Amino acid sequence: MKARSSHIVPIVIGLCLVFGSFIFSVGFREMVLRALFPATRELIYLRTGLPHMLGEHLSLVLLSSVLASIAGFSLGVFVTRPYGREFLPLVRGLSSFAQTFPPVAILALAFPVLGFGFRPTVAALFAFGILPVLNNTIEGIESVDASLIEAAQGQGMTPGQVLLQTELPLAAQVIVAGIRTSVIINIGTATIGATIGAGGLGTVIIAGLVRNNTAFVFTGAITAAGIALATDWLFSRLELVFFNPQDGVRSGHDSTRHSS
Amino acid sequence: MDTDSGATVESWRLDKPVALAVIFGAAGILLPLFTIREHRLDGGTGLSVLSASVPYSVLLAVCILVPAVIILVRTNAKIRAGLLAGTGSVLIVLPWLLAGILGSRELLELELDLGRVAPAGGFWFLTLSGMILVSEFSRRVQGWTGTLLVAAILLCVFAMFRLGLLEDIAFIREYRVREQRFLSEVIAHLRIAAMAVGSAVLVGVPAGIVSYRYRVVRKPVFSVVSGLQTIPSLALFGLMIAPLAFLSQRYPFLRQLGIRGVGNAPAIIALFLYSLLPILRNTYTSLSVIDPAVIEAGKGMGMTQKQLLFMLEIPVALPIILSGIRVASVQTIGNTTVAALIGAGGLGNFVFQGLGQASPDLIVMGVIPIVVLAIVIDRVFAFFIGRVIPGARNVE
Repeated sequence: MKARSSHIVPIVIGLCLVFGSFIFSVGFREMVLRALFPATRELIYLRTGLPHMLGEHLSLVLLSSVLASIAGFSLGVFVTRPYGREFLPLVRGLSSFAQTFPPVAILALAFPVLGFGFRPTVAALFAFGILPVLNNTIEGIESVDASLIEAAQGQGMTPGQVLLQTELPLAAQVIVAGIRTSVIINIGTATIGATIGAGGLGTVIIAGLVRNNTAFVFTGAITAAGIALATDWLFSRLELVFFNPQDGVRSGHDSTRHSS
Repeated sequence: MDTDSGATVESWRLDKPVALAVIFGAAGILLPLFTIREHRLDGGTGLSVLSASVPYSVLLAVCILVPAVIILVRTNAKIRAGLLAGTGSVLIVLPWLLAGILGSRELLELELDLGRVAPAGGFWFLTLSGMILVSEFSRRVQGWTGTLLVAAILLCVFAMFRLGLLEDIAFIREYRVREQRFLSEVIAHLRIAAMAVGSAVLVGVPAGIVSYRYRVVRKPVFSVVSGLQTIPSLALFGLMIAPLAFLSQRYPFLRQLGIRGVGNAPAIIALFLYSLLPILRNTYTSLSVIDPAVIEAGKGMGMTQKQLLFMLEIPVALPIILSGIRVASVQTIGNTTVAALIGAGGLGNFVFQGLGQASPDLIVMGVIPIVVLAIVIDRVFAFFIGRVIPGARNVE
C-alpha cells in the first residue's frame, strides 16, 4: 500500500499544478484553449473570473452540504431512537420516494417557491442532499449488530453512551459514504444552478452554450469535472485513512445513485 | 418493525406519524389553498379554503378529524387501515378538485378571462398530509395494495383532468397551449433515455462479466466508470460537444447521420456513459455474491464454462442486474432533462424555457411528467424484479 501511494504522489502534485494554473493563470488557460480551439476568437470569458465562479460554486456546495449533512444525520439518528422509531417506516418510504425525483427537478421547482439566485439554489441542494445522508445514517445504525448494543447496555452504558460509543463509531463509514454521495451530487446540481442565477461554474458553460462558444463550455466543464473528481478522491483518501476498508469495489458509497 | 404492525393489541399510545399528518392537514386548511393570478406572470393573491367555501372547508375539516380520531380511538386494525386509506386519498384528490372548481368560480366572479389558478402552500400541505396517511396505510397492508391505492389516486386526478375539471389550473393552461409539442417531447425524452440505457446494458453487462472473470481488468474498468459518474452531468454534456463537433466536421458521413456537436448525439453518449456504473456494478456484484457451492454443483454436473455462465450464473444474478438497470433508467430520465441545455429534445426544454421566461407554471408543467415518468419506470422495474423472477430479493 505504502509503495503505491508514494508512486501516486508526484502524479497528484503534477495534476494539481496543471489544474491550478488553468484556473488561476489566465495566460496559461488562454494557451491551453488556443491549442484546443484554434478557430475560436474569444477564448476567455471576461464577465466573471474563473476563480470567482469556482469560489461561488464551492460556497454553494459547502453551505448546502454542511446543512444537509447535519439535517440528514440528525433525522437519521432521531428515527432510530426509541422515541422516534415510529417514524422510521414513514421516513424510509418518503425518502425512497423522494429519491426518484431528479435533482434538477427539485432545483427547477425551487424557482416557483423561492425565486432566483443563490439562496433558492442552496435550499434545493440542501433538500436533495439530505436524502443520501439520511438513508446511509439509517442503514449504518440499523446494521450495527444488536448483540453489540445489548453488550454495551449490559455494561451499564446510558442510551447516549451507546449511541456515541457503540452505534455511531460502527456506522461512521457508511454515514461518511452517504455524505460523499451527497456532496458529489451537489457539485453536479450546483452546475445547473446557473440556470436559476446562482452563479458558479455553470455560468460559463451556459454562456458558452448560448453563444455557441465551445471554449467557454470546455472551460467550465473541465473545471467542474476536476473539482468533482478531486473531491471524490479526497473522500476516498479520507475513508482509507479513517476506516481502512478492505480493498474492493466501493461498497457503502454505492447504496445511492449519483445523478444531477 | 414487527412490534408495531400487530395493531390489534395496540395499547393507548400516540400514533405519531398520523399526528404529524393531522398537523400538516390543519396547516393545509389555514394556509392559502391556491392563488388567483390575473395573468401568466402575476404574483397572485392567495385564497384559503376557509375563505372560499364553507361546505368544502367542512369536508376538509372532517378529513383532518378522522385521522385525529384514529389516533385517539382504539378500533380494530382493518377499520383503521380503511380509514387511513380513505382519508389519505381524499386529502390528495380533493385539493385538485377544489382548485379546479372553486378556482374557476372565483375567476368567473372576478371576470378574469386570462386569469389562472396556481396551487399554493395549503394545497401542498394537504397533499403531504395525505401522502403520510397513504404511506402509513401501505405499511400496514401487504404486497401491492399500497401501490394499487397510489395508482387509483393518480387515475382519479387523471380522470378529473380528462373531464376538463382542471382547465383553469395554471400548469394545465400551459399544457393546453403546447399540447402537440408536449407529446413529441415526451417521446423524445423516452427515446433518448432508452437509447442511452439500452446501449449501457449492451456494454455494461458484458463489462461486468469480464471484470468478474478477469480480476486484472476489474480495477481500471471500475475506476474509469465510477470516475465518469462523478463528473457533473452538465460538464459531461459540455465535454462531449468539442470532440463531436470536430468529428462531424472531419467525417461527412457522421454529419449525414445527424451527429453534431450539440443535439441528441452528445446527449445520448453522455447519458450512456452515466448509465454504465449502476449496470456494471450490479452485474459484477451479482456474480460475485453467488454461493460458490452453487457453482461447484454446476461444475459437478459437468457444465462447461459457457453453460455455467448462461444457465446458472446469469439467471441467478438477473434480479440484481435488473435493479442496476432500474437505477440507471430512473437516473437517466432525470439527466435527460439537463440534456435540453445542449440542444437535445425532451421535457427539459419546457423546464429551461420556463426558467428562461421566469414562468413558474411552465416549469411545473415540465417537471410533473418527468417525475411521473421516473416513478412509473421505477415501479414497473420493481414489479418485474419481484414478479418475473420467483423468490427474487429486491435489491434497491
